[in-house]
Amino acid sequence: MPEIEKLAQQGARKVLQECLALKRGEVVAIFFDENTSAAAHVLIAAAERLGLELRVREVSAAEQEAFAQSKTAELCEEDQDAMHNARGILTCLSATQRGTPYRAKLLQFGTTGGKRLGHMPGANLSILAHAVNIDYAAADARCDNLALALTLGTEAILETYEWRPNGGGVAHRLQIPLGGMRRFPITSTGVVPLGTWGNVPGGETFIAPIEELATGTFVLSGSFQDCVLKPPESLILRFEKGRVVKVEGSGVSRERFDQLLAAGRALDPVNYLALAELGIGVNPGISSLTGSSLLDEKCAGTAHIALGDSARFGGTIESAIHEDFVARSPSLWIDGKPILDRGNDAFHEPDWREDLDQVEPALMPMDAHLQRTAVDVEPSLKQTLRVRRVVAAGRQCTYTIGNPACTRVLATIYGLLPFMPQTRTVSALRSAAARDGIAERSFLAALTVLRNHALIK
Amino acid sequence: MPVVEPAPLTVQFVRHLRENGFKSQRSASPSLADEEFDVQYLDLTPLKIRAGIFTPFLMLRRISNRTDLASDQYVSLIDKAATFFARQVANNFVVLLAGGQLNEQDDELKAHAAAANVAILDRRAIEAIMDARKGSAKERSLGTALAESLGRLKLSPYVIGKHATGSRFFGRRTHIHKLLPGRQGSGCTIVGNRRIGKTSLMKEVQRRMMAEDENLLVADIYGGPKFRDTYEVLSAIIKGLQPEARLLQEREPDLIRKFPSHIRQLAAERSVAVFIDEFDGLLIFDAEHNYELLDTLREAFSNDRCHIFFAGFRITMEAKANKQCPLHNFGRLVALGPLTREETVEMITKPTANLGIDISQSDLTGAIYRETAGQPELIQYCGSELIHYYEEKGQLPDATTLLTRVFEDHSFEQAVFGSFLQNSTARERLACYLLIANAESRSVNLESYEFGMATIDGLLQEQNVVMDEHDLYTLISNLRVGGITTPVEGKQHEYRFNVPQFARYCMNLDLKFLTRKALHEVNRATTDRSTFPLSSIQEWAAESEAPEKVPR
Repeated sequence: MPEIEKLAQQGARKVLQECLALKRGEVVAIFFDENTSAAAHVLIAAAERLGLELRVREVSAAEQEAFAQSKTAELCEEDQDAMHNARGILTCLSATQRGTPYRAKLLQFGTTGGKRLGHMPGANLSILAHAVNIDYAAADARCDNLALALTLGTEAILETYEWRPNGGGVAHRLQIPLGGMRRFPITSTGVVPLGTWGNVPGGETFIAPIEELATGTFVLSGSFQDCVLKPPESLILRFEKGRVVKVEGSGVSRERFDQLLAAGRALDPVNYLALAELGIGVNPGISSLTGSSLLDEKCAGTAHIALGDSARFGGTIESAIHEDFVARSPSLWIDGKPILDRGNDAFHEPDWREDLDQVEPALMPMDAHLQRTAVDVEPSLKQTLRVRRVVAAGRQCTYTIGNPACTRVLATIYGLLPFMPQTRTVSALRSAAARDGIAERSFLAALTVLRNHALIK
Repeated sequence: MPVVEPAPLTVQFVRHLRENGFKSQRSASPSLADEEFDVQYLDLTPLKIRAGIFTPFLMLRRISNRTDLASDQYVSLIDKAATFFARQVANNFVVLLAGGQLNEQDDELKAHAAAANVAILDRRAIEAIMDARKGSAKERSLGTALAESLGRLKLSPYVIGKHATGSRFFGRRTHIHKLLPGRQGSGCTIVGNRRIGKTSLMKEVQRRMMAEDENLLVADIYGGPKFRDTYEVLSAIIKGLQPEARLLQEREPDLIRKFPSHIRQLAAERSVAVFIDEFDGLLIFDAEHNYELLDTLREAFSNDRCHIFFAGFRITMEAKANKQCPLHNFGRLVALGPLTREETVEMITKPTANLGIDISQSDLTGAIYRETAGQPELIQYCGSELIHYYEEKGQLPDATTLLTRVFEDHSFEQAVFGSFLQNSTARERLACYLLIANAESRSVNLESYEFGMATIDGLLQEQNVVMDEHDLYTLISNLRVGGITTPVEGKQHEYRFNVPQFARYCMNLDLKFLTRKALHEVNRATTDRSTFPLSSIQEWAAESEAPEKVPR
């Protein structure tokens, strides 16, 4: 068996067992078409080997296009039946523009209650073999770090490099306001949380920046849809007040870029130049750029921005277009602290994760009533305190608070608080915490951290 | 050449609304006797606020295009519009179109109008609506103007405890598509647990069928325990379709035999639609009578112009799966679950946006979906509280504030937890408490904690409570009927808790204490109702439908 097929089988298994968390006997629905059948059949075979119950729907590209033209735009009964009792759903369909309404309808129908939907437009054997065949725990850990920094940070500096033919490069900086707890990033690890959908492969953390404020220049040195820039080729995008005001560069990539912009302008003359996204790729299974935005933006060692719509992931710009632009080996600082250094992970835990010994406890009256807020927290056996926020359209942001010692204390104290709407006084909570061996100072410092992260009020 | 005077602004406005998606309707209501107004009835259901299909728009007849009115003239007109409103049967309010402009000082006037259920749209409001972009912006503009005139509470679509149709009906597009004639064959059965929206769906299908075919003959039957035999049910159907039918007048002893031909005769001229809610109760006696009722209905409703819809739960579902039962292959099955995330978001965002409340940049919809798990009734509590808060404070609540208010609302607690405490057996309560404790001890999120018969049996056995398979099955069925648990998608015989807040209420009340109490009761065999027939909890489910409440 060729190596790629072996790897693809491994990848298919990971998609089913890790991305969708399916167990023997559970139902999985797989949608595919004539262009994705190779990958779909590997997934089907893997599902059979895992003892999953299969609901397979082959929907041709022509049928997907016809859906967009239909008056009712309702899924046929076969599609509905396939998804109705499914625990996991995989949409391995061609990544065509004309098929978008059909794929969007599948997402809408399948994102509910106790299902997980893995969205795999353009799935092929290579994606199964490499892009999804990764260490998900490692991807999750990096996304957790990035989500924490993007959540707390107020400003990102994205430094990208214009390479010179004689070696060396010129650095360009783009200042991007983040909001500091007013905007939340989406963590796309590839592991799909229950009741939501996610891209498979995953491997990025991205956020909608605060609108109309970004200033500076961005070097487009990687790729965008259907175009890969080979070093030292690059285009320079100049931003003022959150919009592209000038583009520098020439060659084939410039022509393609101008075509893309012209198409964007035709669809949305107002917002086609608006900055909509800052994202960081963390997927080590994607080792080269291909001109497929959905994959390239997840490539480890890259960062990307996007123009157009941001409303679907927490911003305020509504637009019919959304185009991603990837930069190779960028550097990134958030609030002056390093996150990426020329593409390499530079996250420094003490910069972001609280140490209770270092936290100055805020004064809190002992008779004050404390309440959990509506922010969701993942349960743990008093080990970690991990926040889970729904950002938009069911997409989530998850991050852990504090260093290992701190997060244990936070989880313990948080667990001592009753559920909403009940409250507990500071003094009662202090007594309970003391019984769990938490010292007074740590207790007060922990309350300060919980309050800073809007987990109690 | 004669000078053609332009149509008054109010007339232009109504025409404009008609051309922008608000259909004109003929009204069955009487016209105004003093002919003060021209009346146009517009369908405001696209706004998804509490506004009817026949909302009256009143235009002054004798006032020219540019004249502003004095306050006392307005008061008089409002009183006349209020008189008009009093004659309306199904409307929540009337809209008085004023060609002139109200002053800032006219707040008292507006309050007087609102108290009389009259929304005044003056020149400024009318022009703003006409200038708004077609589609959602125009809807927002019209809805906001109505809300500012009448108050948002008046227009809140979230009416708890009453079935929702028309502008108050949300989601279920796929189900509606399946149920409308031409797609479902002659029969259709809707199943789903209590308070999931079966009745609302059936009423909405009925409303849409009647809107499409004004000659449609309709019988709307509420099953339940009031019918004792086939004769009574069929009589009620005939009475609904044709109250003056000879078959009824003569108290025809052979009614059952003649029923199918009677229905076919009716259908020769007009389409026939029969809706039977709470079908479980009828199935119980029909099974004892060798399915006489279902056989008769099958024979009668076997052509394209006759449609029959059933709504029920466990017994109906079992009957549908039972090959020996005539319901088995009598039309299709539509199973109703919670609303999807998108439907939930739409149910909150669309009405609030049209009432001038922008929640797009808040975390409210995500929190509401998480806490309600798509249960329509619980979403209504959240939506109602959101509008109430905004009206009270003039600003959006954050998710914590909103949910705290919802959870503290006694009727919400009653809907989620109180009815469970009052109506479940000690064993059912014990099983729930042990499951919650088990989830907590394993640190599993309650939203994703799944369990089946073996888990429940194991937990009960640890407490020395032993149940046979039949009793365990009954216990699980009862929790499902009561809306406490819901089946897990894609897993046979596995369940999870329906609403996370249910378990949290238990935990806040001290789970160990509750467990001890339930165990104590179980051990006092005399107080244990677990041997009661299955129908007892279904009766509770029917009885515990909350009475209609006026939105706060």
